[in-house]
Amino acid sequence: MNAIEIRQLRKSYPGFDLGPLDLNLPQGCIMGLIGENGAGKTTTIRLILDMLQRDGGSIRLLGRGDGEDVMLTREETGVVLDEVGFPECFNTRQVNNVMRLTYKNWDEAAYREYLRRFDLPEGKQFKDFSRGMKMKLGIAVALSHKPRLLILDEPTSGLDPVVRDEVVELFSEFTRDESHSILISSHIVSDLEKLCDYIAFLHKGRLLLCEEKDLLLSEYCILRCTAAELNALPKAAVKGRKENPYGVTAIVRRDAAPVGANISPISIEELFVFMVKEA
Amino acid sequence: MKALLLKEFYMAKSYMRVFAAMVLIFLFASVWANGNMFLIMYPMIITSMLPMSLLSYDEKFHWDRYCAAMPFTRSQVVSAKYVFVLLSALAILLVSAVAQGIRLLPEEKEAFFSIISMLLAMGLSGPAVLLPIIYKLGSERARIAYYIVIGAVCALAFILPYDGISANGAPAVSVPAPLLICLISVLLFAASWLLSIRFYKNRSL
Repeated sequence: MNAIEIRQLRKSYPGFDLGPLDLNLPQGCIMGLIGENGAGKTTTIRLILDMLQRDGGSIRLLGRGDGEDVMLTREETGVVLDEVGFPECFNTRQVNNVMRLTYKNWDEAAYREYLRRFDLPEGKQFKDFSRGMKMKLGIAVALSHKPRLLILDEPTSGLDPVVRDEVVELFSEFTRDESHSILISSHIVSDLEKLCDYIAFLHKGRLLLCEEKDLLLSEYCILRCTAAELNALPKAAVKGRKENPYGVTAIVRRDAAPVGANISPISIEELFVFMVKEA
Repeated sequence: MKALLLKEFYMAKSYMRVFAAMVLIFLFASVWANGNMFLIMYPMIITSMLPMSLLSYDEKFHWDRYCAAMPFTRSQVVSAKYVFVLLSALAILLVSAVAQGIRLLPEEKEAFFSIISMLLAMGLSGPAVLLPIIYKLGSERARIAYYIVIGAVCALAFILPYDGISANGAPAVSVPAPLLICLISVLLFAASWLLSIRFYKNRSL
């Protein structure tokens, strides 16, 4: 079963069109949704969460389509948005009291353990939290009602590198259970590269690719050569190019690179930047 | 819905402390100020505007988006606000009834029931008019309507008709058909509730 299935998803705004998007997140996997600012990541997530009305297409979450056991799906989905939406007057105790009445599977012990782990003070009001602390509280809440699916919109934004590493490890632990899945959007590609099994590139509302991360890293490489050498390669094998005074740096399919050519491994960030520039 | 009501209660407790103090002062003053209608009505006016303030806080803090991902239907989210309006209005109505009962009963029964019916109408009508506008347009764009309604309600409290002076020296308020006014207020509130649910179901968050 796929945790998320998106077919021909579309949404239009004046000056921006999202889609049509087709995307599958297999159960037990982590998918990173990468895109520059304004690419449509947050719009995609809000469409998945039914905060926006879509103009076309279908979405299935945890095997359930429109109108099917919507509340059960929400019970099983943990969400962290780019802004954690608790009233500023709340403290962590009040959050617990409200969430305990919200979710049937609310695990207060797990919540307190996450608060301890994230070093979040109990009596302090939310308005006095730093951005990082707010995000940590949002993550603690998302994880504390035994979700099967996490949908995270820029969850590591505003976190220092130490905490980001801790949070990335936490998400990794979450998917050790094969029935757990994560869709995470971010423009901090290094976090996604550590964490994700699948990578989806979104650019100006279009999905440039959606592929297994390891496959991408093994399929493509960086080639440094002359323009003439690059032009000799099949066009379909070249995913992006950058010219400089000494020659050309290009992303190419590894199997298309000439024998003995100057190639090096690629990172997801480099792949994305090249593809966006080419697009 | 218990979770949503608890959240409203926490927010009201935190953000409305000053208003709560004002309500108590005005309630107390209304007993001793010999029937000044503004003093009598003002606690209910303040209380009836409370849900609109809380709704604008919800938007400011992005709670509306956050709770859209939680296991609440949009109907429940709207209904929690309306239930909160009802509970707040009934609480003030009860306290005002005691305060005015001390002042008016048993001699001025007609004035007492007139005041109670006006208080109920005031407590329900303001939110009944404003909440659907806010759910449709958002609190920022509905702000003008908010100020118009507050102004109208305050003006009403100043210009209510008097029927003469009662036995204890206070102005006797006579409102035609207080039961009818209560019924109309309740029906308006119910219609507003349904309209708000319809607007909110179609709103993008």
